[in-house]
Amino acid sequence: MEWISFPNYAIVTITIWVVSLFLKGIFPNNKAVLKTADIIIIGGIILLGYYIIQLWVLLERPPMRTLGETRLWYSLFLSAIGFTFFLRWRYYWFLVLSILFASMFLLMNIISPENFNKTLMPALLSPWFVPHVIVYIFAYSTLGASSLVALKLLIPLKKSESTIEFEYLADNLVYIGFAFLTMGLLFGALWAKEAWGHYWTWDPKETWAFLTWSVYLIYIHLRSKNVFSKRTTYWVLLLAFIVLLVCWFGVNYLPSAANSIHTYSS
Amino acid sequence: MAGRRKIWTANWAYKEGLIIGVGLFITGISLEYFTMGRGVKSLMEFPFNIYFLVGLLILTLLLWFTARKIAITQWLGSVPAAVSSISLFLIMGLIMGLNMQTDQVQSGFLHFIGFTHISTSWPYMFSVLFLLLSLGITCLKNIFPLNKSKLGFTVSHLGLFVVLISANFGGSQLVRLEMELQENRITTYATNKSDNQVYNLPFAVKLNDFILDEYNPKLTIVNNISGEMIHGNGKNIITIDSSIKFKILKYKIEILNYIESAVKAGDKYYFNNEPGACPAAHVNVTFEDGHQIQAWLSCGSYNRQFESLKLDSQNSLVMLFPEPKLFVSEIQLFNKKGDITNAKLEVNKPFDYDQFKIYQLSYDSNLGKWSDTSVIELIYDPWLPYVYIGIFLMIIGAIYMLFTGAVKKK
Ligand code: HEM
Repeated sequence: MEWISFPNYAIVTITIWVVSLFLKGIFPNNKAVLKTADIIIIGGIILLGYYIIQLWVLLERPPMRTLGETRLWYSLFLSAIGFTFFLRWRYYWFLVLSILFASMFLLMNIISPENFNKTLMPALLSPWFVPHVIVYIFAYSTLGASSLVALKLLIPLKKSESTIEFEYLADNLVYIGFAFLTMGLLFGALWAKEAWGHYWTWDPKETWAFLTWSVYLIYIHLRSKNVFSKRTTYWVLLLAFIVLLVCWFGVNYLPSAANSIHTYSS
Repeated sequence: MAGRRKIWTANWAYKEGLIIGVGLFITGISLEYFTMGRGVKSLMEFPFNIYFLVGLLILTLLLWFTARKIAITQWLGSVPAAVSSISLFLIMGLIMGLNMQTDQVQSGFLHFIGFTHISTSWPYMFSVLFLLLSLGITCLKNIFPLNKSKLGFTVSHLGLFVVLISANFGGSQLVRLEMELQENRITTYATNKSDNQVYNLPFAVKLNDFILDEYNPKLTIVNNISGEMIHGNGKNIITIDSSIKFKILKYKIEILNYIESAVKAGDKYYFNNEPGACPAAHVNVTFEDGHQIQAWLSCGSYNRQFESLKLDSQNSLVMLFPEPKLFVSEIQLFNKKGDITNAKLEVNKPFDYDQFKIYQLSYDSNLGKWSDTSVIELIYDPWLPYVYIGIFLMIIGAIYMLFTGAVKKK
């Protein structure tokens, strides 16, 4: 059995993404170039999606088990969300950042390739597996996008620029992301009841998922009444993303995780 | 705003939140310390959990229906109280997330202030009460009178309230019993793992068959001297699929024959299904200089020899134990009335019976697929329906949130 060459797919995807971003940046007024670049970007997203489907078929299980596999989905969703929001709101910077982050995740997978392992432990063989992970990664991507907006709000380029549109965008992304995050968390709880007998055990992974959820909850409530300065609120949004990253990647390294039942295996 | 207002006067906000939060935290830690880290576990046992819950609900209702106008009620239903109480709860989570939690009684300062068992500690209890008071008042505020434009988030808040109440006040009533079954034998007792008490069950369980399905085993290279796997982050671990060719490090390997269940006779392996029969593979290895060797490999079993292939002075080719794919217990349940129920227990597929959910837990891993022991778990959780109701409401709230999105704020 031959492996489908991940580096080839990833390098092609990254290259065409970056090239089309450059094209868009260099010829901002040339309609034909812009259109072509858009199509190329979509092509990259489709290529990545195609790779994931192939991997799924090859492995005979959903490619969602290892960190590397979840990074693939993250790239796919982040680029798709970035592009959709670009079409809707016409923020070029947003497209650039989301494509760059998506490419970075693909690069990480090229640099530290993981074992494409077919086996799936019995606890993962469940109808909850796919919805739980997909909903989570979608939430992560949307919330990741919201922290890009938070960055933009914390580093204003033009002093006079009105920030209301960006605040609205950030809130919208957080609401969508948070709704998915809530569903991911709850699906996880329902699944845990079926698989391990209890819906919540404060296992380190669960604890960090809860922490992530809470920081976004605080952001939502802070935004509902503007008592703190806006800068503080956007720092909270950035902090929330850092907690999210700890939950996603960092939990395995924490001393508290020594006997966690669900850290990712590699 | 907060800064210009005198503290504790009308419209409490964040200053009060901070003081109340820190106050509860310190009180909790002190109580924990003076009770030598015993926590609230015994206090929350049935029926006390019900008394506390009813007390909390009455307090919440009284605050709202008789003292709606006082500063503290107003504040509890406000965003600053929400942010303060969520933050305090978050700090509890942070301690749990950073410090390993255990059920065992330990010594040391961290144990005495509850940090090793947060979810049954005084500071946690206080933070839950604060959160529930704030959330409860918020729910009442939006239900009486019902604010239709805020229906979505009222449902979220109510759902979370129900989940938090059932999980925190009902959790102590959860019972987990473990039961070890032997094939073709009837068992009537189970052990509670938290106190090692043995219970006689009102029904009997018979294990008819235990079935274990495995993935094909994997091949990899180990270092002859250190005995360690040279797995290269998993790159050098290859699953055996029917006749394949692959390369690990500098060795070209071809599987000539693979037998899932085999025993050795002479220097070859033959298909056989007797207990202890193990996977075996006939491989051909081609070295860099072109010479080839052929040999049989096997991971062995509890009563069969393990067999590897020494490639050169450095490395050997080995077969790893196959990983389990699925394990199933076919059982029969007998109750006092004489009814017989057949059930199939599988990981992720528990079976509901007589107030219990019955789970497949483990088996004798030494014997692997030849195990005739199966360990099952019986879980009694009377609060589960309420947790499900709360979760259901929260999911509705989340979907609502997806559709409405954020409101544009000036
Ligand atoms: C599932 C979790 C939760 C979700 C999805 C949620 C969502 C929301 C939303 C969307 C708002 C409206 C914001 C606005 O009008 O701009 C809100 C308001 C509020 N939330 Fe939450 N919240 C949650 C948990 C909590 C918790 C745990 C508390 C308290 C401890 C709380 C207390 C409040 C309060 C006091 C308000 C203001 C209510 C009002 O003005 O009538 N929420 N929440």
